[in-house]
Amino acid sequence: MKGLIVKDFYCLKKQLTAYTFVIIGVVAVAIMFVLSGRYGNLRISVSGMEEAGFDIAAVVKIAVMFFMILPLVSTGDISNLFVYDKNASFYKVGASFPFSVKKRVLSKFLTVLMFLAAGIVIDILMSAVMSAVSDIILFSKSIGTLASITACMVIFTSLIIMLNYAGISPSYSTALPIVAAAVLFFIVKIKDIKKAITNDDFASFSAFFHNLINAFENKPYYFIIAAAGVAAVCYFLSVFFADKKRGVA
Amino acid sequence: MAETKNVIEFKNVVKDYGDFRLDGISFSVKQGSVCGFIGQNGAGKTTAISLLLDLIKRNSGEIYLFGEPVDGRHSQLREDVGVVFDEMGFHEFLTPKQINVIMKNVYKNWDEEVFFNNLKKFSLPSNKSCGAFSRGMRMKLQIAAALSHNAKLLVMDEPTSGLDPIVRNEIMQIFREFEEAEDHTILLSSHITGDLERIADEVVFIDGGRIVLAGNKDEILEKHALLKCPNDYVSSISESVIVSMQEGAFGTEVLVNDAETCKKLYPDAVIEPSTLEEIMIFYVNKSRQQLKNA
Repeated sequence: MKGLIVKDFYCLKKQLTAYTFVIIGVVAVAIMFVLSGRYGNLRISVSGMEEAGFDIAAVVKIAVMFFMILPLVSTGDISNLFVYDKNASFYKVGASFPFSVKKRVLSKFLTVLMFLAAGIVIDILMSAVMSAVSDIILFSKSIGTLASITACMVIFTSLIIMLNYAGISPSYSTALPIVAAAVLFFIVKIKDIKKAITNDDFASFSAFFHNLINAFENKPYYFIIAAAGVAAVCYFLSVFFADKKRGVA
Repeated sequence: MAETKNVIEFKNVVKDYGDFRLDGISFSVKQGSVCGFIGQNGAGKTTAISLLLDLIKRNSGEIYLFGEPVDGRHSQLREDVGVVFDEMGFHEFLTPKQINVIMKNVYKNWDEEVFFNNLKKFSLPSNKSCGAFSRGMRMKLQIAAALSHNAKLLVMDEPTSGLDPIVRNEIMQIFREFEEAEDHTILLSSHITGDLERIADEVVFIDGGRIVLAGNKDEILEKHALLKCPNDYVSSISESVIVSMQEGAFGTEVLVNDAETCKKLYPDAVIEPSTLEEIMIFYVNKSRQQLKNA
């Protein structure tokens, strides 16, 4: 199994230069954004809007959440592994190795977790710098946010792996969970969306994002439990799909 | 004398794809032998090999590898199997050095010294991406890997197709060296019968998903012969010895399955030894004829 993980690392190493640039860029932009929100142009441009309910701290926090997702997304780019394997016809060679289907599937999940771990390290460093330069971002809260985001990424990548083993093409496997989440959000929030469009009433939207930030910062265990459950279900379904084809993904 | 073990055994194996069916094939490969798996493209060779390696599921029948059933629960059996596919299978950006790192984490018995010696022997650079390798080099890389983990069985699917005669000859030489060890067995699928004629002890001939002929290569070659005669002479030949025939402008060529009897019964006819390729062609013609008549 270790051999398959090493192979996946070589595949992802191919994208290392691109990752490095993305991560350096993200860290730089995130720090500049926080600084600007606290002391710079961003702070100046929204001054006076606080009375109207505009919360610059919330905006910065949501932006930072997106910045924190990026190192995790780029390091957990699992779909490309399936593309590389398919292009090289590696599935035949891999399936001839002395590993069971379960181990072959498990290796993909472990590769993702290892790459997410690398993303977590980068995010922790980024949070430490951001909390050091501004009082908007607190390191302790960032760790909660990071745990929640990582849990969401585990859900996202587990679904991608499962969809790939189910025979859905790698590009669709990546897009499907995002589209599904967007559709779900639209269905759940249809009333608030209507209000926002017709009455310019953003209050419920604003409340939703505050609740979301609060949950991300203070209740990461919800996301962690959900991630563990989804990952386990996706693993067993992946084994089921892979075994149907005897491990040929 | 101790009985020779079967390393591979197929018993009435069926795999149905809808448009193609591997139809109850049964054959075995003895330990220490080289078995040539012959058949035209699409005959079912790759399907049979995929079933043996547990890459796909069969519909019915039994397959045994080293005496153990191939049923998805004995993946460790593949520790002793070196596999060479018709395509390289390794990612093009990988170098042989990186492949070594991967493989030593795959096979318990991986011997990197043997692997790097094989690379040297086959004149393969260890630091160059294998995407830059020619087809011959790619096949040699696969063979180098297959021979570096103390495999007892080499399973190869068309390893020499598309290669020039020089490289094919080199590869055949490698197989011969591997086969020198008593317990080493080779299953070599190919439609290039000339290669198999040089190296195989046993031959399994598959056509249209059915085993047409299986047995000792020398016995098959001894039993079969090409009988050349005028077109009107054919009617005097017993149907029981005729496999199939080809009519030409200057006479008819008949593949017979009992050369010795034919030499005695038809002294006027020219009877020449047949090659595996001719045997394959005549048996395929027979199947096609039978299909037409059905």
